[in-house]
Amino acid sequence: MAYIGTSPSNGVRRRFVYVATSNQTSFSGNDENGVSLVYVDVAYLDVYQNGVKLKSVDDYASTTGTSVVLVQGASTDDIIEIIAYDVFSVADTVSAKDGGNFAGNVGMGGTLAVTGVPTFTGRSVHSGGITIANAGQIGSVGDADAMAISSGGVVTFSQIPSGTPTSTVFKLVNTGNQDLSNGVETVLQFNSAPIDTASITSTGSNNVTITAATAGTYLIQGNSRISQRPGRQQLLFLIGTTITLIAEQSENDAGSGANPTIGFSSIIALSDGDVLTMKHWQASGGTITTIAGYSQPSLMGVRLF
Amino acid sequence: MAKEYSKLVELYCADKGVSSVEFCRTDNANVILSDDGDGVVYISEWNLSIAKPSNDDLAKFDD
Repeated sequence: MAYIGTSPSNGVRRRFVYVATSNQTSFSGNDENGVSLVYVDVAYLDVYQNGVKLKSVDDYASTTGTSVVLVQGASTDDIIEIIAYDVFSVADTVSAKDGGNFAGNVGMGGTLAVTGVPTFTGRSVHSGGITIANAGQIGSVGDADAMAISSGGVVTFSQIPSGTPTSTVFKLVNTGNQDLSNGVETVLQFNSAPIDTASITSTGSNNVTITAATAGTYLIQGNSRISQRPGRQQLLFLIGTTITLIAEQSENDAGSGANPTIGFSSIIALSDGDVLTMKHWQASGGTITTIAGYSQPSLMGVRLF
Repeated sequence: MAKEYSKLVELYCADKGVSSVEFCRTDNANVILSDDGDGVVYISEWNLSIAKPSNDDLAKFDD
C-alpha cells in the first residue's frame, strides 16, 4: 500500500514558493519561506508560474530532486510555485486483511479477541489471572484434557495427578540417646530429619517452624522411649506457640516392659510462625536416657489441608 | 552438681520449711524445672511462698 507524502510527520504535500528575478530559469534552495526545495518523484511534482500550471519537460526540467529549471526564463517578480507530492511505501506493516508477523512487542489497550487457536512459543504471563469457559477443559497440546472448571469454580480432574507431592510432611528423629533429669521438662533433641518436604525442620534448634506456605491443619504424632520404667509417671509435651499437647503415662500404664514408650497424636491447626518443640518429663527419681531404635524420639506431621 | 537438680530444690525447700514440692505440671506443680535440650537445668516457674533459690543457694545442698 502506497501513501502520498514523504512521511506522516511531514505531511503529504510540500509547497515551495519562489519570486523570480529577470530571466531566471533555475530554482533551488530556500524558497520565500526558507524551505529548501526537495522532491523525490517527478511524477508527483506540479510547477506553477503566476498560477499557470506548467508542463513537465516542455516547460521545465525536474531531474535533480533539488531544483526545477524552466525552459524559458521567468520575468521579474514572477511567482514560481512548486508543489511536491512525494511518494513512499509503508513497508513495515502487518496487513489487516492478510495477517502477518510482528517481530517486536505488541501492546493492546483494549480487548483482544481471537477466533483461531493462539500459539505461544514462550511462557505466557497473565497478571490478572486466567478465566476459561464454564466447564471448559484445560489440557495438553496432545489434546488430552487434564481438568475442567465448572461455573462454580469446582475443579474436576480428568487424569490422575502425579509427580512430587505438594503436601507438607516432616519427621524429626533422634538416633542417639539423651539424658532426662528427674522432674525436669527437657526439650527433646533431634539429630536427623529424614522427611522434610518444605524445609521447616531444624535439627540445630530441635524444632519445626511453620511458614505462611505451610500453615494449615496437620496430623501430628510424637513419641519417645526411655531406658527404664518412669517411676511415678512420665509426660510428653508438644509445645507450640498457641497449643500444648500433653501425653501422660503412669508407671502402671507403662506396662511391664523395661523401656516404655509414650506418644501422642492429634489433628491441630498451625499458623505462620508457630514453632513446635517436644519436651519429655519423667519422675523415676534419677536421670534416665531416651533410647534410639524403634519408637525412638520422633516428631512427625502431615498437612491435611 | 552431683545430685539431681530436683533433689536440690526439695532439700532447699525443706530447709525453708516447705515439705512438699510438686514438679509435675499435670499434678498442680508449684515448681517447674526446664532443660532447653542443652543439659542445663533451670527453674522456669516458681510458685512457692519462699524465695526462689539461685544456683549458689542450691549448691549448698550438693554434697
